[in-house]
Amino acid sequence: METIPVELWQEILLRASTKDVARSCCVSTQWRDIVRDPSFRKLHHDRHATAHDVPDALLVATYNIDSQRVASVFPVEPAAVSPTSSTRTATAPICRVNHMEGYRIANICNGFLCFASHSTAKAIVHNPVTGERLEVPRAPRLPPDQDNARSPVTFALGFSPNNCVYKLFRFTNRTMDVYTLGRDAESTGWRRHALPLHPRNLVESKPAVVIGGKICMATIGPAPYRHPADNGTPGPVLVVDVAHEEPCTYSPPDYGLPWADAAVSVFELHGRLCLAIRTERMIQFWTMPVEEDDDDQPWQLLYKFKVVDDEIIRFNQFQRLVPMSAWLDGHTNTLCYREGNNVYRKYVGTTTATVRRFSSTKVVIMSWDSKICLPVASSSLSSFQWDIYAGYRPTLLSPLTFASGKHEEDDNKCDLFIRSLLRTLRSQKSQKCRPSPTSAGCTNAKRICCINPRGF
Amino acid sequence: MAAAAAEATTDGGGKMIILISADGKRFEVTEAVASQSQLISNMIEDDCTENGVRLPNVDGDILTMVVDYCNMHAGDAAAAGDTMKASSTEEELKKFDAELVQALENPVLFKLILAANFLNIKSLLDMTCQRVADMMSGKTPEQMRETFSIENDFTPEEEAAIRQENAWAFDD
Repeated sequence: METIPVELWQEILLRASTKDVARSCCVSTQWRDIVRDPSFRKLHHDRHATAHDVPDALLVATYNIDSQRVASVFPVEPAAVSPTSSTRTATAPICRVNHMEGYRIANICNGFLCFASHSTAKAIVHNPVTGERLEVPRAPRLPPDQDNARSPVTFALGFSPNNCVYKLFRFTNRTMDVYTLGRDAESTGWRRHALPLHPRNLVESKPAVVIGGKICMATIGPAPYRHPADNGTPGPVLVVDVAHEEPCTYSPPDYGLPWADAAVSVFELHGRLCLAIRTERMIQFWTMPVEEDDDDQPWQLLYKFKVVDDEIIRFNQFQRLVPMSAWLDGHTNTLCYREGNNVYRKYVGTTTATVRRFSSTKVVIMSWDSKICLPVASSSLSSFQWDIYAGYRPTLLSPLTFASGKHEEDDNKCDLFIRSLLRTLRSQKSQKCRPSPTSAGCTNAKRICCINPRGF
Repeated sequence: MAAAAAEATTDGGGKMIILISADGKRFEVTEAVASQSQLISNMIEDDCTENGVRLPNVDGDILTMVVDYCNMHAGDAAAAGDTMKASSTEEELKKFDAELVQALENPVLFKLILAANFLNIKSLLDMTCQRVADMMSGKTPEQMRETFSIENDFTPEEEAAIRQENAWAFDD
């Protein structure tokens, strides 16, 4: 067979999916070296980050191991079975992330998981595939009126496909702080924009989703009956253009029960924004194309499910409403909806791109294909938390590509101090050594070398 | 196939160019068709196509495919010109492209890639590389080696390490 030169294998591997590329680097040393090259990873990322394939859902479990907080990341739906691969790794996590107490997963953007600590105003961008992480410089102080425990704060990593730029956002109810990841970041740093005046209440526990260069977030409107801080009706959806840092809001769809409590969750469905609205007896899925902005009622009702009697939520239960999330399983083209310890599934086909503009009354009430009851964590696992995050598109790109190189020194005064401490200590020692470089000195140095690796 | 190429040249204006394959086969095509190859386009600009363009890296059977491809795609490349050639519809082109690469055996596909790369025809290179990438989909490293006749030159330790590093991609 013809020998294909390395540049052409690179061209070919650039076009393979991330998972195929990760397997392909086990083929030969030539392929491994192609895939290891950071510039290949950047090109591959840029080519595939704008693709329209269905993203994966991840199970992120956090728990304590020896008093350290650990997050483990697993694929929810394993990929199509390759005939000869073993089942050995099926339950192995993609990665484990050790992080400091106080960090929580904020959202997923392409192949990166964003963890954030609200109290320290810091965030970590993590690639579970490479295991590498980037610490983003501390965000500026919150405005005085938002700087208290009651005001919600949400971090979100966003991506603009037009110029392949990642930006970290921090939202409060009134402001939006933005930081561009990359080498030039130190010159621009964090900048603050005001959010347009609008009654808005961010929900810290609901991760933002990133669709077509827009960050989309559900908010909670005023509660109809009870204390305003309780979960109430779906508020406007906040959509932020990542490239232009321009926010806009969309009124929630008219789901027919404006007086009743409802819980809401956002996810990506075939490149569109989809809103799952859970009312007392109904679950509705509404969709909206994110690129349209001059439409006064862009929402279309896609699916409507009636809940069975034992799943009806009483009003007072909404306050404790169990975690809900929804995602599309691209392998089986199934709409998945999780509520607490139940997962419901419904086959929806390969596309919703041709949805007609039907009125909500014409959508038939459907029933789920299946319901799965998940195991409940026992009370002995008190530190154990888990949730499902959709929108994951794996990449081999290292988040350290975006390191500005300067912030570590700025940020970590301890490191700086240690460095000056060592410098001083060692300069003393070398002065001592210089007059008599005896053999004893050499063996000493050797011994230190031997001990150190074992000590680690 | 070559007959079809010759036919297409008779009704159009523009200069004709003769391409000569490694085994001496001659193909007469219009400048518009030939200049989809960046290599030949540069030669046309430099005015050195008078005595035919010798392509010592490309066999006659491969060049037949390349010329067919270029004839088919001349419509979108020379869209600025008038309707000298009824340009094929997008669907027809897609069908033609799919049929062109789908049936190829690997050695022929690789020769076509090398030819597209040598002649610098971006769309053909893109399509053929994508075809090979699609063939990798879902395959284990062993299957990829078999498909593309690649020798495993890892030491067992190296292979174990690189597999461990990418264990996430091996799930069922």
